[in-house]
Amino acid sequence: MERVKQPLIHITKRDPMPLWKGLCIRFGAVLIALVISAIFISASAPRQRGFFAFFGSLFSGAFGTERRFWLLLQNTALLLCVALALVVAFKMKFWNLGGNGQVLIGCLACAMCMYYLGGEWSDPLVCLLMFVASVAAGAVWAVIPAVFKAFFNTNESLFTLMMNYIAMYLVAYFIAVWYPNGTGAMPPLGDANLPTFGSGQAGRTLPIVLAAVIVTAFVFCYLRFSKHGFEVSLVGESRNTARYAGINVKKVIIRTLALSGATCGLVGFLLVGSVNHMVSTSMDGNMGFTGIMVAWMGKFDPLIMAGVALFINFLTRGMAQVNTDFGYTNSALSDIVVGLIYFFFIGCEFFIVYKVHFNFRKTTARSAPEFSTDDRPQGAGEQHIHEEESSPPVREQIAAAVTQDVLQDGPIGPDGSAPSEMAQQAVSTRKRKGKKEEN
Amino acid sequence: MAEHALELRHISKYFGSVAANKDISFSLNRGEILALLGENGSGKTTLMNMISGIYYPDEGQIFVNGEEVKISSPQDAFRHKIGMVHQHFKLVDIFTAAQNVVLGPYTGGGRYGVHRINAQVAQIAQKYGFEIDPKKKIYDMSVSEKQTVEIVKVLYRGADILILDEPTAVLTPQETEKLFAVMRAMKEDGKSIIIITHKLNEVMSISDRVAVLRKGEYIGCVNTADTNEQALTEMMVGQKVELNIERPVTQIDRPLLEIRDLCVKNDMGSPAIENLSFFIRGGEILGVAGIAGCGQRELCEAIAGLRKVEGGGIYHEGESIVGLSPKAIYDKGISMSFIPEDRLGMGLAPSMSVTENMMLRNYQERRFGIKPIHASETDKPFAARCKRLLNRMGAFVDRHDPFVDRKRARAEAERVIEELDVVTPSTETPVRRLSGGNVQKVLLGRELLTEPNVLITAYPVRGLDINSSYLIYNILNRQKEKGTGVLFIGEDLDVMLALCDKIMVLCHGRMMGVVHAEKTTKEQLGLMMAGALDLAEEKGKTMGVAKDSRIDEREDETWSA
Repeated sequence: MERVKQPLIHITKRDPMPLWKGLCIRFGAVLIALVISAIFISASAPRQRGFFAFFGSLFSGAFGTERRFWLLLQNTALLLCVALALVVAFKMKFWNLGGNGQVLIGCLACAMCMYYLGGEWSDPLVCLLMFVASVAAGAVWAVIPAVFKAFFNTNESLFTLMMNYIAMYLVAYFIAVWYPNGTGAMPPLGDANLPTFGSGQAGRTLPIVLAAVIVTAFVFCYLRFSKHGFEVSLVGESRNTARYAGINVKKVIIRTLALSGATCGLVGFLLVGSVNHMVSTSMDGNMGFTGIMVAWMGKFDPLIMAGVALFINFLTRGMAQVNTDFGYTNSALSDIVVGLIYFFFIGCEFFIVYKVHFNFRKTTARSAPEFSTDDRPQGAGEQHIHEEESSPPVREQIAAAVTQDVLQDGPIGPDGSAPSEMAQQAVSTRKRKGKKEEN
Repeated sequence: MAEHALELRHISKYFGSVAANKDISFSLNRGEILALLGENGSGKTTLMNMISGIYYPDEGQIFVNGEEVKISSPQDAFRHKIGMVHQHFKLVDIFTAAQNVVLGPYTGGGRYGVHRINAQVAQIAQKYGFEIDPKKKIYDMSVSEKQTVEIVKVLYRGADILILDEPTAVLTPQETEKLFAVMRAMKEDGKSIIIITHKLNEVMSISDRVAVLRKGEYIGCVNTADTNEQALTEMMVGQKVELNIERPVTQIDRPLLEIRDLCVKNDMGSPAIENLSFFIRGGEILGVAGIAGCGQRELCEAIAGLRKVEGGGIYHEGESIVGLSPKAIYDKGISMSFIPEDRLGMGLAPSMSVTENMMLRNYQERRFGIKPIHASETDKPFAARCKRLLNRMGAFVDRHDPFVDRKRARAEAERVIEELDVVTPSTETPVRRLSGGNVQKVLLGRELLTEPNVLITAYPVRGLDINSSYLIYNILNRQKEKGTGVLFIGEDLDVMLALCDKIMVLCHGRMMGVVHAEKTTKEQLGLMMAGALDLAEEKGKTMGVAKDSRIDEREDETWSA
């Protein structure tokens, strides 16, 4: 039979894989990324400390001392709160890129209460006012773009992005007014600090962690069980469908963004009232953008997002320690390494959804056994490759009705044939047939 | 035996674990028209996409003129002189016909010259008998003209093998005849054509041979002359199918929904419906025929309260419903299910589960179920007041129950799945993962749950297989027997003639007349759809036109409360 050139790479969609397999692949991807980073760092660092010291530094930076551990938790909690605030809007397909601004304006409102009222009123009263002011300020900052979106259909991404800068310069303005010494910095305020649970870092962190737990539980229930949450997803799915279901779309957009902004404002309240007792233009810590990553990597699920937020903070804090231990004078290289790890972590998603066939040999279509290998640079999930090797022929018994919509997600079953039956068949055939018949 | 223009051997394509095409082998002779027949989802389009280079087959070989070829991009397909006309046109709206035709792979031949190209396009058109103005802009064109441009485009690039994906779905019967004439001319010229269609009568009239697919498998190929519609259906479905649609006679009620001089604008702000008047009685199915974009969508949306009514009135049992919220209209028992072209656009949330889609209409109804405290006569005034206050607070809390009722929705989902035979792995599967027919059943099932008294349904069988279609016709008939007024917006005139009691024809938002289904013909409807025959103006004198075609003059008989 005549030999014809096959395309080198051939990509097909794979069956949904079991949870543990996906987790293994992700874990493997991170592991390999870390090993590559370790080789990279230990080979090029100014201070030679060896391959395994990388891992030592990484973990010691994140969990090394009790204080570091609590700081890790604190940062995770704050980042998670911001990400949850964004998810509420994202569920509605409202791309709120204004997390930073909403946090900052919350910070500012809180600092204002502390600056003007601290020491004059009783602390509990000021604290209460700080809370209300921060939450309200965050909400207002998010509602402004929401109103424009609802009534004039402006682009919410640009709008919220610009609101970030306004908030930032407002903060800079007030610092300059309060402390006109030209440094642009503000000393911590002594009055009206939030109460702590005991002394030390743990005492300061616990209320924040508690707040994060409450917010997580609330957002989880709000999105999953409430009428409002249903409306949010419906508006996100299709505004037409939402109108058809009798929903006031404008109202839902504004209400949802108020909630999103209020949650960001709450983070501002915690940052100023509990963590820093002062405000600065970079107080948001860029959480508004990191939060976007948390939301997407966590697939908009509050519980997975908690894990992702922890992972991201583990990396940042760990790599900062690596940076110090290996003698780097700036953070550029460690940032690259963090980027590398993200790249692997996000990149492996592709191989969870798709399968890549490599045609290394020129084959005739029918006579040669087909080789399929997963192009997985991180090389994770070897068992998986073997199981998928016999891919096309094993599906022979599955008759299916498929149109183009398969491309999007793959239909479950054709009319008239029970999907469970299909799945069983697929499994049994897979076991029986190892290799393709040769004709 | 002559060499085949195109031959497929053992072609397979898988998406995940589902086989879209499995081991398909057939051939296309030179100068023949081959009809590719199969139910929706049987893999026709996937197969054709592999031939035209959009997908790459997982297994198998393709031979063109006896030589094996690999087609991994549309450019490859053009190189092998294969051209496909897609169901959804791929044209640049602001370009002229000729400009669209020359878009694409550079075919050589010097400078881009408008006159030369116009002349070339006109020449191709003349050769095969197309009617086309090369200088006309696409946005000025009707659907059939756009299709002509698509076909000319493929011919201009020198295709010898043409694939037409459901070309007749958007055409009136007259336009279809014209297309078939062109196809025959192309065949005379030695072109080979594969036509994908659902309509059996068209298969019988145009094709030389018929290849049948069923659930991704190749069933067989027969000469058109040796077969008939019934046999083809059986090949397609795999079992015997009764092809008659019943039209039960019912007690016709007073008009339920009356539309008077309705004017509605489309999204662009130009009139979509102009001075439309008609009514639906309980116990009848009123069909609405018209080519795509003649205002059906706007009409549905206006009735359901989703689109602003610019003028005129909509009366439900004599009460005006203009200006009411969609929810209020729905609560009156007017239910609308519109199946747009993508089947998911309106009425369903594609990423949500079947259960959640059941909630869509009634999620607001869940209450805590707080019972009022019973006041007794022996209560002291203070106690009575407290009880009243508590009851009022209880009622308030009850009204503001923040949660959705998933349990009830799941029960409803199960009921719909069982009654309408929906194939789904579970009630929690996103509807976008269901196949087209099942999606439509979910939508229709939900709308029927509330037992509406006016059911507006647009394209309920769009793209459905034969069995599912008949199931839906039966559902509509059952509703009709219950005394529901059904407005049925359809595409297939044969079906409408068999199912509907009366058919209203729209053309560019104007009513061309209402005719009794049993007294009219497809040809007459086709003329009306194209705007060539206007019965509305003839004051009920033409045969087969319903007396209430002009509702204004018969006000004495229209009922209002």
